[in-house]
Amino acid sequence: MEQDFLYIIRENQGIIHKVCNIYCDHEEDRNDLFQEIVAQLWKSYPSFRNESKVTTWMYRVGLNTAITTFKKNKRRPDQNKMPYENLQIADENYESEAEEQIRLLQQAVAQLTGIEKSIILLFLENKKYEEIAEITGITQNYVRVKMNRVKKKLKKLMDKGE
Amino acid sequence: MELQDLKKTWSRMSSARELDEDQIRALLSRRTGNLIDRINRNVRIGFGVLFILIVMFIMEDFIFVPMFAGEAEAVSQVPGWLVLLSIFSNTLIIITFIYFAVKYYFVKRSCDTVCNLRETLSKILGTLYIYKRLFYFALISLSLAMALQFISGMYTGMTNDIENQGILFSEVPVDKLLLATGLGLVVLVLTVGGIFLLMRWGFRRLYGNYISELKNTLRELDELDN
Repeated sequence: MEQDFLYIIRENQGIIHKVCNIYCDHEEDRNDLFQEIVAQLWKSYPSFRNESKVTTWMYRVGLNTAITTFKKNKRRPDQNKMPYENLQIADENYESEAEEQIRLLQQAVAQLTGIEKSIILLFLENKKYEEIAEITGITQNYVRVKMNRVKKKLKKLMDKGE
Repeated sequence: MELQDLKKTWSRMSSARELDEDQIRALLSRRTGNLIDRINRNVRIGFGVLFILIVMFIMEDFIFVPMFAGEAEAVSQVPGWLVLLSIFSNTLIIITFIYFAVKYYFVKRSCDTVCNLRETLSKILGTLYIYKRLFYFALISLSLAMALQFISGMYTGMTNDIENQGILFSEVPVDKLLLATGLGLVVLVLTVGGIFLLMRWGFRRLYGNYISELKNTLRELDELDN
């Protein structure tokens, strides 16, 4: 069982990294959350009966953990800074424009609430309304409503940042 | 920036770190500091402590008291109202224990597989409420027990002292009795009240923000459906 679990995590760890990146601004927090999500996935693995997709299960546990994890509000000198030392731009020929867009996106996302972050993450990951509803526990109609609100809010925040 | 561009930007971002199986295994071996896991552990410890207390109270009432009744009677006579209060607090502890155990079972049973976000939030809040009530119940029981012990001790001390002086209780001047009772009550309120307020402040400081944060998040989800 452990071997199967490790294989799943290794193959799909990008999901956990994305959840950590969207919920945490600092490297240390991201590492803590990553470990916490892996621990929670391991804990819930025996009850995972393949009724849903592996990725849906991982998003569920990942987002549940990120939203419900107790934040200790560690004091840091660069509290407002949004470093992304853990991230890289996949495109080898990245330009400063792309870097600027990433910075804007991160700044805007940081101002969203926990629920809004989860909705926007699933939107950015091209998830269908049905799957978003399954993960969040709200109906598809309301996912649509919420999605429109969050998109507008995010666009406004990004326009303001430009 | 257009929203479709967002997806492009997002897809450009990827994690620099890729963990292998050994690194993931190492992560699993470390103990996590998850608050919910700790609270669940504390609730179970709380149940254990309550269960031990109940067993001790039952043993005290049915085994130890009858065994030492003769000697104890010779030393002091416990007034009936104190016995009644003691029975009341013991019954309260037993009933509350059963109530919490049943409530906890239903909260935990609410979704045994991986829940969605709404169910998870409800479940965590349910557990936190049980924990909060368990904490306050223990605090009130402790305060009540301390107050009872204090009153009992003060009463016994006063009657013994009066008896030693060779005078009757009814012969003690009322103003002296009132003064002693008043001073006793002040000490009682200050110590028991102080401990109660200190513990309550500590609990709110530890969990108050977390509970209200979770409530707000759940409200945000619920607002959509209403």
